[in-house]
Amino acid sequence: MYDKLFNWSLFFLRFFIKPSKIEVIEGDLMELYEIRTASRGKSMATFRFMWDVVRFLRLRYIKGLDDIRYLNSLAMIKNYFKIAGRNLLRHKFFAGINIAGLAIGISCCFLIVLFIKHELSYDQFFNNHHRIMRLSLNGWGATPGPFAYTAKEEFPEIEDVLRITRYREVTFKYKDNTFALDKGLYADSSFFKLFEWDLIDGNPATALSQPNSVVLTKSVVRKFFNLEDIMGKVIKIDGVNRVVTGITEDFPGNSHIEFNFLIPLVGTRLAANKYWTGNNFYTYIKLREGGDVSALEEKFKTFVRKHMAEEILEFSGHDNYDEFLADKNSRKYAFLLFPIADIHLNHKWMNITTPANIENIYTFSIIAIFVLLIACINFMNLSTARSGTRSREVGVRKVLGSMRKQLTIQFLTESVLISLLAVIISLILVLSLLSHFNEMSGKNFTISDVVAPINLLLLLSLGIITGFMAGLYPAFYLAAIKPITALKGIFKVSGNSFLRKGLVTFQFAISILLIICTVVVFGQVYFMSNKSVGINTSQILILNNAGKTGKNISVLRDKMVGLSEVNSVSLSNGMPSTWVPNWTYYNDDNGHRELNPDHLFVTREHQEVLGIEIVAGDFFTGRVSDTASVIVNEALLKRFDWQLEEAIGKTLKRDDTEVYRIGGVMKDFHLSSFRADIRPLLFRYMEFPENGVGGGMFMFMNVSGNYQEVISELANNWNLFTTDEVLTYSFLDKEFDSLYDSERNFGKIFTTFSVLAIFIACLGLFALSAFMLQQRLKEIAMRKVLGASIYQIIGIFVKSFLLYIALGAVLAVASAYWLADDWLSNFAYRMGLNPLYFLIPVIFVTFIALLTIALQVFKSGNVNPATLLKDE
Amino acid sequence: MGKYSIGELEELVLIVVAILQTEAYGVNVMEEISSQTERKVNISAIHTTLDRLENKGLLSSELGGATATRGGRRKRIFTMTSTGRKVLEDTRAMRNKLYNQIPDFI
Repeated sequence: MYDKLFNWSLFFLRFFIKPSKIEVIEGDLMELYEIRTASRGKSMATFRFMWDVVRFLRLRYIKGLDDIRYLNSLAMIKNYFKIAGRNLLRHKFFAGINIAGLAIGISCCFLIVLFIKHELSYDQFFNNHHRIMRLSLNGWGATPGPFAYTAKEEFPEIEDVLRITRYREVTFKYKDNTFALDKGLYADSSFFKLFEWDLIDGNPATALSQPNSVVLTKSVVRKFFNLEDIMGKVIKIDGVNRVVTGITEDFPGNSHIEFNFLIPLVGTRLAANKYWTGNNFYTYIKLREGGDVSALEEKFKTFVRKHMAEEILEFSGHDNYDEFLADKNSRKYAFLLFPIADIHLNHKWMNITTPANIENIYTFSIIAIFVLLIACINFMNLSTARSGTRSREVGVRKVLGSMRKQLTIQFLTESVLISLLAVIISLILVLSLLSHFNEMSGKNFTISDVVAPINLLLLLSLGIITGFMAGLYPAFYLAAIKPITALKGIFKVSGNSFLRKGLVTFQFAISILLIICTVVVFGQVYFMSNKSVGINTSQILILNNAGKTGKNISVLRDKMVGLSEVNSVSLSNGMPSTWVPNWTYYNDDNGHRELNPDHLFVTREHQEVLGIEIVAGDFFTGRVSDTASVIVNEALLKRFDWQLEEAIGKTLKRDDTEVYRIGGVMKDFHLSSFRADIRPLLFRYMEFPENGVGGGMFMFMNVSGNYQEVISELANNWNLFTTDEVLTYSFLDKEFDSLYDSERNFGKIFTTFSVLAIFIACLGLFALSAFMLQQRLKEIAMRKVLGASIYQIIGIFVKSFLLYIALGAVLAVASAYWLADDWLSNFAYRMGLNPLYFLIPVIFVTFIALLTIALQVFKSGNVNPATLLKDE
Repeated sequence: MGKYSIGELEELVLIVVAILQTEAYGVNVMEEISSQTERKVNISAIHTTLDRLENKGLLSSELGGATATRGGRRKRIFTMTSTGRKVLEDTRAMRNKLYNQIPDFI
């Protein structure tokens, strides 16, 4: 047995010890074994031997990679790295340009990958997110109130339901601290149970089960309560005392739900709403394990018939539900279930936060790939152009027995090494550009997100892939060099200059394309923010929460009108540039015709304040009949096919008892952005409320002269008429302008990327022309000796590139025109495409390219020809 | 000293190699140390130390002849280099210098 143990240990020893050391070590161990066998017996000697073997498990004696025979080529790969390193050091200029270009390209791609990964990860952090569904009515997010709990009673496959709805901006008061807070939600008490979300403090099961309680997020506690222990304390929210019953961690940024505070639905007027045809709630349904979504959706059809048919028929005027279903024009009630993880990306209209902009995702990715491509092209161009410098090496290697495959691997190793260096630089670049990127993308990435192991791995693999992509062609090209020509020194690099210049053409085409896109995007933004919307926006100051003044509204009005700077004051329940409600009206003159015009209540002064132009009739008359008349715009007439002359006196009905007469027609003006056509608009009359006003009112002031004066006066009065409320006001022109923020953002993306693209392309051109000059230095010297001026020489070089840049420009302009036209078709009101938008970028890029070349030529052309020619 | 600093075990091994003259190889060095200082050192530690000293240039080595007791494997015989001797002397001199500064040294 001891012999067996001894043999095993010996075998093990031979397995792991370096071959160069094995003889001496084995000899010593065996000598000791024999001495010990003689002195202390075989068993003792064997155990000591085993122990000694184990003790030799030291780093310096264990076989390294180079000791394993079948990894013999490892030594070769080591050599590749060595040669690659030396080459980089020897040609610092070219290596630097390659690395810089690739680093920028890789950074762009990496940031985009981060962005897309984040977009795709929405709502997947919830446990059992695949069982949590959002109920949708015809693809929209708002659903009837009674649906959730009735469905839960009737369908056993539903485990739990939850309704939430948005809460308006409110005023918080705690001790002496008053502040306004938005992003509140009303929620059923099942909120935390359904989302399986824990509270930091408080009981998730009961936190939302009592009226007059509130749950705050941690960020609110941090921001407004200085992390004070607020649990169980009383906060006054819009005048109602509420007890803090829970503190929750904020939902992660990649959720379609966002809130600052939660108010229980229980006990509110909203929760008591029993109407099936009013859509006030976002409904979440959690299925039991194995619950069938499509089967449930099918069951909803009979469910709708059972509970909703009666109410639907009341509105639609059909005799029975089957007739309603058969009527092609009636609005159907299809209830669908969407997994919550799909909402952000695929169901734009169901989001509480900003939905994914698929167009942005595509644009981002395509541009990033372009930038990386430009960098790769640089690498390919420089490597093949400079192949002459490596041809000797290739020749010698081939003569000494290198296979073509091995050489290919060598050059690929080199390019991967370069791109790995680029990865290191791009990591630094990414970290320092993160805040800028966050601003562009609307995300909130932190440094720790970037250096998460999975993302670093991603960055690394991106680098390796890029290295392969960029290095593949040069590797094959270089490996194919014939040893005889190489060693005789007659190898010439002209063979593929056509391809090289073609690639340069492509680079500049992309650069020009990106710049044209930038110009077009900003051009359209400029066009939209400067086009007149049809009403006076520049002088309008709006008090957003005028309703909070309650019964003092008329006093406030009088005070403001009394100021010399204020020309007129009006009230309305909606603000142009923001969303306004739309109500249904119909007309029976030529059969039943329905329309959903944008719908606002306004006081009579509104026309004067906004400067609305009336083309027929009056903007109310000041008589009692005003309450039964409406003012409409031309777009509404067009939809009913009414001529301007016949419009006055036509009737619009809400139902048989609510009949309104058109009293005036307004010239069309824009209530929202220039993206959309002007919608039908209808103004209903409201008296300026002398006895006070409810919530949701905007007070419009037409102001001239000193704005500051007006605002400070407004603030003074505000403090007189309200307690614990925060004054919020806005300027109409600024509000309209902010409608185009997303386009501006889009433009910023283009600007950033086109600057990068131009930069990398110029780096490449710079290096390429530097190299070509180096090869033609003697030619330059001869030309100078024979009397050419430096400008003539510059001309020669510039000419050789000019054709390719021109070709690139043609390509770029053609595709840019197509892209711009496509993008502009998103807008109902689009600017004309001025040829200058195309010409200026082309000239700009050409100029930069030529300048790059000319500077190079100028530098080397200014050398005394004697120094260049003397060595021959 | 300066350039060469050697550890305690290294110093011990260096001295023993010097004592053993032409018979300094792994097993012998270990036996000598254990018999002279009653210190149990594992053979692997002796090998490591010898290698390290050789890398530092204080020892040199060559493969000796094969003997039957070792299953026909050769020994690696170590000898001290002149640098090794110098370092050993320096170490000793420095130590003595320090010892002599202890007041009332017995």
